[in-house]
Amino acid sequence: MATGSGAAAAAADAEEKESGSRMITLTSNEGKAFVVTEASARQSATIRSMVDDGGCVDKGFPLPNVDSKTLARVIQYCDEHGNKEAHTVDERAALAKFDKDFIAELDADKAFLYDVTMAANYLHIQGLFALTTQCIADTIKGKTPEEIRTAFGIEYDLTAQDEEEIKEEDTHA
Amino acid sequence: MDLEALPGDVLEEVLRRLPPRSLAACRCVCRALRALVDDRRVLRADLLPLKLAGIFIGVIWVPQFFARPVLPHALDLTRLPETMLDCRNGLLLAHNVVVNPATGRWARLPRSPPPPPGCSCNDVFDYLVFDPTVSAHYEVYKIPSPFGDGMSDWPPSPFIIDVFSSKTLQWEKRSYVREGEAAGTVANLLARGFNCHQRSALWRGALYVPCETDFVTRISLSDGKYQVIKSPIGLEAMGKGSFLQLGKSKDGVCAFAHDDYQLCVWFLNESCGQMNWELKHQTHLWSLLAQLKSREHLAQCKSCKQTNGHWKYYDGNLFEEHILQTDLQVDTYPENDYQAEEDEFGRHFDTDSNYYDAEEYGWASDEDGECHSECNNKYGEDELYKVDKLYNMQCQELFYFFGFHPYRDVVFLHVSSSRAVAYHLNSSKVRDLGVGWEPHISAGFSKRHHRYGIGDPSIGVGSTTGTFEAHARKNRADTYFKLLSVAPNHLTSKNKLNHPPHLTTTNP
Repeated sequence: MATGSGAAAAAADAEEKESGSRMITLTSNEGKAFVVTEASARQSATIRSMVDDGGCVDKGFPLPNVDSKTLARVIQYCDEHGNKEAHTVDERAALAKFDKDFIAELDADKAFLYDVTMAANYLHIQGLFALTTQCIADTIKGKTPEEIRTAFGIEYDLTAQDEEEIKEEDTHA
Repeated sequence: MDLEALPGDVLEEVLRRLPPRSLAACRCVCRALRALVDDRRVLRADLLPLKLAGIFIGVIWVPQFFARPVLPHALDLTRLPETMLDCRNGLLLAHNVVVNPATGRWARLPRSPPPPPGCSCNDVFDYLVFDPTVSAHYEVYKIPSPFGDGMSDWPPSPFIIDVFSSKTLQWEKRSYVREGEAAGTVANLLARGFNCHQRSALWRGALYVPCETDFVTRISLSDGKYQVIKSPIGLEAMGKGSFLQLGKSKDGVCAFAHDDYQLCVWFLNESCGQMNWELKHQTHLWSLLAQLKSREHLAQCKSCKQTNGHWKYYDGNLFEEHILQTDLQVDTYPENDYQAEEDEFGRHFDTDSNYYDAEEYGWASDEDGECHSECNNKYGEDELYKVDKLYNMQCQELFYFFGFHPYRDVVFLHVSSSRAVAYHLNSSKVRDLGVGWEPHISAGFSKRHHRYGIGDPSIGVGSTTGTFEAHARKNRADTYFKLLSVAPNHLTSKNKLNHPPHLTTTNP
């Protein structure tokens, strides 16, 4: 969209920048391009700062740490939160419901959940990062060490010395 | 891909969303998680839920742990020292030994330095400084009573105090400069009577040490300064022999004092840089005693039975064999090993301070099981029973201060021959904690202790011997009559019941 040249185009560009209706291209590490609205892309603090610094909006942003599947899912979140208003109670409730469904779907596929979490961390998408880390935390919560190991497929690697320490430390366990 | 593959920053964010209990579980999952929890300090001791498992009583005496029957898992009460000089947040200080009952460890201190010239070693009192939420290290302060030239100011400036630090493992002299006025001249202070060990308080990096009725020394531990805080107005008006007992309560430093008629609790308001004692609570002893139920009532009434009388006294000396053994086995921390020991020594020790689960150890409900209101005054004869009981209880202790609840507006008191109560300052309600406690008369009762025995409620146990007993006997009888005279028409309203003869005669 913002491909014009000359004074008029620059004015239009500025106007578009204001309204956040410019389109921005994000490229996954597999080279697949995703075109999103600026409002959506601005959910990511990383992209937001690059845009505000006058970075190469036209050329798009390559994201070497994010694969296509993950990026598509992240964009789904950003679109929902960036493009939709959340002023009224109903709108906020709709957004909360979206988050709930979104995370429930992710929770079913742990590996994918981690990918999305890391992408959210890398792109600094605060809301998404909070959502996914809370989801992982909820999985840990209320579990015994053994249950945590099972849930996350962690190998037991504590030495006898560690065990001894734990025994002495956890007087209240 | 598993959890460990997540970058540290991400995992840290996950861990920060977990409650302490889950973090503790994570520390036992695998080495990577354990290291992460420790290195990033996500398990913050100061955010742990504050639960009280019990309190240690018997300062300058035989330590006893007063707690619920279900003891915290690893608390080793078979290895208590014979005499406790001070206790703080679960650590006990004995003669040159610091004991952690949670780990059963005894750390011997190096030989303590001689008292300052002109001061007897009996006039130097040891205070333990330890706050597990701040540091795993502890310090011992030797604070002398007024001594030296009668005309000089006390406390002196600089005030030189011998301090042992578990960080350096040695005694050193620290100098504290006074801010503000002194308490008075040495001669003046000495003229007001003997000194005894009173309960001190530790709050936000300062140690508050009371000196008789006169003043409280507030020692700022980190910046080498101290100041004198005058005792609360009103304390002097109280009966002879009443003096301040300090403690850390819910919002800061509190002071407790009682005489034959009343008890008072003050709160030290430190806001705006001023030190002001505010009277927080004042009540007649009578109104407190009137709430006590008879043992028969406690045994019969189901709701009372559930909420009352569960606490017990745990006494290290009940396990004499162990004590004998531990005398030979006092641990000293080897220098190089110390760092490793020190962590668990501090962090996970819980007796006075912390980490128990609400369901198991209670104190979670707001008022923690006060006696059901429908039971109040249901058994009218209870009160008569009590008066009768008190009257006949001449050789027992009447009223002792056990301590402040560190996280609630509650004081623990021992109010008659075998009753310990939690007194709720906000509601003025009494909760009976335990009956059936027998005073522990120590075979090793020495002269040194005797001087502390008189009038020091913090002893709490076994201080009745010889002359004190006779003295107490006389005073006690006086006290009951005084109590009766201040009681609000209590007995006249109950005249349908058969009064014991001595009550009818004392009733005007």
